[in-house]
Amino acid sequence: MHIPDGFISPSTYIPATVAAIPLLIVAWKKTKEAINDESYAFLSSLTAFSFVIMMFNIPIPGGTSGHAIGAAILAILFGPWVAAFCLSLTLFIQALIFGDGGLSVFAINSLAMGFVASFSAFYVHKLLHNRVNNNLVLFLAGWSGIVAASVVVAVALGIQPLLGVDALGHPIYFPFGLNVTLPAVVGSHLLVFGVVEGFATMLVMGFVEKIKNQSTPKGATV
Amino acid sequence: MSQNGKYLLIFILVVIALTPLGLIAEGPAWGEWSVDEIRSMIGYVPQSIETTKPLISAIIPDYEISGVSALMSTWISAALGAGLIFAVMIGIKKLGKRAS
Repeated sequence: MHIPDGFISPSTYIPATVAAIPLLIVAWKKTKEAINDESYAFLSSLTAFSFVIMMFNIPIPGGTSGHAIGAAILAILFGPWVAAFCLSLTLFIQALIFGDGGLSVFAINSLAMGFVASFSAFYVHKLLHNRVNNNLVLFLAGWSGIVAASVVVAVALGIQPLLGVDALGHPIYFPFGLNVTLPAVVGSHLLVFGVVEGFATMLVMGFVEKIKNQSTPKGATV
Repeated sequence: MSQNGKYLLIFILVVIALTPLGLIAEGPAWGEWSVDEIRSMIGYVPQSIETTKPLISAIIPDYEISGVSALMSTWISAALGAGLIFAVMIGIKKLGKRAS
């Protein structure tokens, strides 16, 4: 889901950047407030987890692959703004150091995998929390977050053929329309990578709760 | 280091150790194709995809360090990325303290 440079028209990524800047400023401020000596270990290691989990490429039929993003875990523990900042930091390091995702389209990747994934996961968790089985809630938070992000990416890519063609009638930017990008990107996340994100959210949240409970004296509140 | 910090550090080290599993997938993510892959799919390369160069060229493109095995490259990349995140978070924690 990391869109590279050159795939997206400036008429898409410039407005996306203008929209992302104020959101990133708010996310940055909320993160600064949220980090203290206690939360630091969780925030930094779970952000590092989101970086590393994105390296676990899972092959699917058709010669492509994908991965989980770990956004729901941060969103549930620290809220959607902090999670969006953490994911954006991960995406920025991936783009800058590893060329994974373009710097020019960083805002689109940040809006999709940072903001949309974190807010979707957070609100699904909030809505369902204490109403259905906790593991199912965690699964659905992870699943819905990454699926929502995939919709943003599919739309951003799929509208590109409408935004520029050369003298031969060939698209200048990403060549496939929504009829191709929606099933390919959203479909694969609905069926495969969303399920992986769901289980990753369940497993890691289980681990986090366990170590939190262990270190908290009985009767104390965290 | 706190007990939680220790558990979390072990957790992240284990996940980093497992990153070579990600090398099993041969194909790139859908849409994240190289110029050559696009040409073989549709017979041409869209102009912007062919000509746009990254604003800043990546230090370790695609998590592959030239002259280093794929296995070591993956471990180094994962450790470097995770280390950078820990470092940035320490910086933010210090900024937050100074502000309050």
